[in-house]
Amino acid sequence: MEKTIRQVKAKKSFPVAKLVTYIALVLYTLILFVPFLVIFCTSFMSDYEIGASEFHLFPYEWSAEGYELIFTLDPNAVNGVPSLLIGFFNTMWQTLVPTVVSLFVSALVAFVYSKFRFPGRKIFFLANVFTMMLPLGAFGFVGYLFYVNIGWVGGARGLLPIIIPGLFGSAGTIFFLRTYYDSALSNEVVEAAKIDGAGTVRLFFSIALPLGKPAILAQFLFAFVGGYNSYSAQLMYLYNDKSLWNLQLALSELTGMLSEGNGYNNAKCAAAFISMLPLILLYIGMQKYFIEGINIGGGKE
Amino acid sequence: MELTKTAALPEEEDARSGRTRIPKNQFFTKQNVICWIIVSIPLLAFLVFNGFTIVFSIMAMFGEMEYNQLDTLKWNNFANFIRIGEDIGTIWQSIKVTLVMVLAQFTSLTIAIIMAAFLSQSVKGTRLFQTLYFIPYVCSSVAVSIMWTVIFGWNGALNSLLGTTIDWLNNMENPSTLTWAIFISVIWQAPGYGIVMYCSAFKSINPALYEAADLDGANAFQKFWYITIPGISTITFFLVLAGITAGLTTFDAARIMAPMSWDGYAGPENAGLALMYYIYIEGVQFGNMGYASILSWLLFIVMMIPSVYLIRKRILSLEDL
Repeated sequence: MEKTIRQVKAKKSFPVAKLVTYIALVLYTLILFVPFLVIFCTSFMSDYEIGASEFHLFPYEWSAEGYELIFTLDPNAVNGVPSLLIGFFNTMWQTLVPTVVSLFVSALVAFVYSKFRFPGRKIFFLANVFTMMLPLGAFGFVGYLFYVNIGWVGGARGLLPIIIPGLFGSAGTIFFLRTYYDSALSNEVVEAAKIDGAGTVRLFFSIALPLGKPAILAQFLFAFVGGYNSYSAQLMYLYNDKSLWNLQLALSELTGMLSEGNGYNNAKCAAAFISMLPLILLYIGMQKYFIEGINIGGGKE
Repeated sequence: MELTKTAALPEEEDARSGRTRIPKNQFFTKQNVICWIIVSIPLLAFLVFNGFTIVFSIMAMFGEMEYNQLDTLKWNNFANFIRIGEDIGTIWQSIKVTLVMVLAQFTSLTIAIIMAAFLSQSVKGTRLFQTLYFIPYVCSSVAVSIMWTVIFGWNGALNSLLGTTIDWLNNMENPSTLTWAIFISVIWQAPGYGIVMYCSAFKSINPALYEAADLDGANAFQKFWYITIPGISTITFFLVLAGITAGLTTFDAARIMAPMSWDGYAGPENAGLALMYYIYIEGVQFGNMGYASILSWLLFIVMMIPSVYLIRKRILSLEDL
């Protein structure tokens, strides 16, 4: 069906339309990638070259000075370990622990909503949707008041508000996975397993978890990106303990200090570039799942 | 979509809507209790971690504390509210900056529709372009802001391109260039998600509609206006709301691109003082949580307006779940 229309269209349309499309696509690609190119090239210039000459895109002489500087000149290094390295390590565990646990809880809750009939199910789910829609982002910084008063701020205790609230599932993920289970997991399979006497939790592990894999993976990827790029929570709760900084906080503090001297643009660019690189590589490797993840969600909205 | 689901599972629908009264001895079955416990986990956590924040912030609005400790809270005759009047210039400035950030989200959405429309043309390589367009979205706003800081710097790429020598982020003659620099960094980064969403939305529009329009002699614009736009309205609705939320809570980019300057908290004349940034400065940096709470509540109330609409719509659409 679709093919026939495409053929009709292709016959009708002038090559001009195709040309315009390509020009637009390439132009937008340039808009997106020239800034990357600028910081990539600047990161390979020496500080002397940047200071002594006008702006130019490609370095006269390629130099790794910027990359050396971010590891040797780092004022936030702890015991000689550069803050970006510590930050990367901290980002990994501060992201993975809550993401994995929370996804687990969310999937279990979504499965229960989707495949079990229990009294009050609808009210519970409405409450879930309600929590999802409340714009609590506005209270992001006021949350500090709560955590200060229960003693969860200061030193390593600052990790608690970052890790603990994120362990109990997220309303949005539950909504998303429930919609997925409703359509992708047939009730007959679950009913048959129920008759065989499998309990709720066992059903979850044997059926829901394996069959929900594509949607769970998509949610994992987006949660991971969110965690990797998280900044304001760490800035609020972990600012005083450099050994707990995550990558974004380490990056912002490092470049903030470098800008004070009005130089070291090469180091700033190098720091920004290597901080972005891991996620860009992850995305390129897994782009199919990223795009699919949006499509699963998009179709249902 | 709802129709096909109902049609596929008729007996399921009966079980759902047939609200037969459950005998008491079947109410507290083991399975029901397990289900209640499981679905309560996220709701209870939500209550604990957000409920107290909301209550504490209301208390903090009406008093002052030492080191944000609530046990030192003292009634201060609405001093926090009176300060709003004295501080109205700064608040007004931060509202203006925040509105520019919302505008940036709307602009991103427009870019997303246009680029998705190009990507939906039947030309080769659209898949590759779509992949490329999503890359800025996975980059952190911190790193992206640093990137733009370098580009907008006085010896940066932009000045070289325009042949000017303006310090765009610290422009004494026209401080608002900082606001628009943040705007640009947002619209560079934000469209990726919308592009992918719109691409899938365009694909889900029934091709027979276009076929019929072709037979009726509709031109490309008419087809776009009368078929495509209505076909993507649900996703647009969702993206507009997400955009408003994201725009109103812009923080990372403002904090990186607008550090404290000699005549403002956030860049020259507070040109980068998004409302969230102001809340952070007042509440976390200066320890005035009472005042920060008032600003947060203002922001929350503004954000509730679209949310209430969305909640109503969602709950209505959930009737069949």
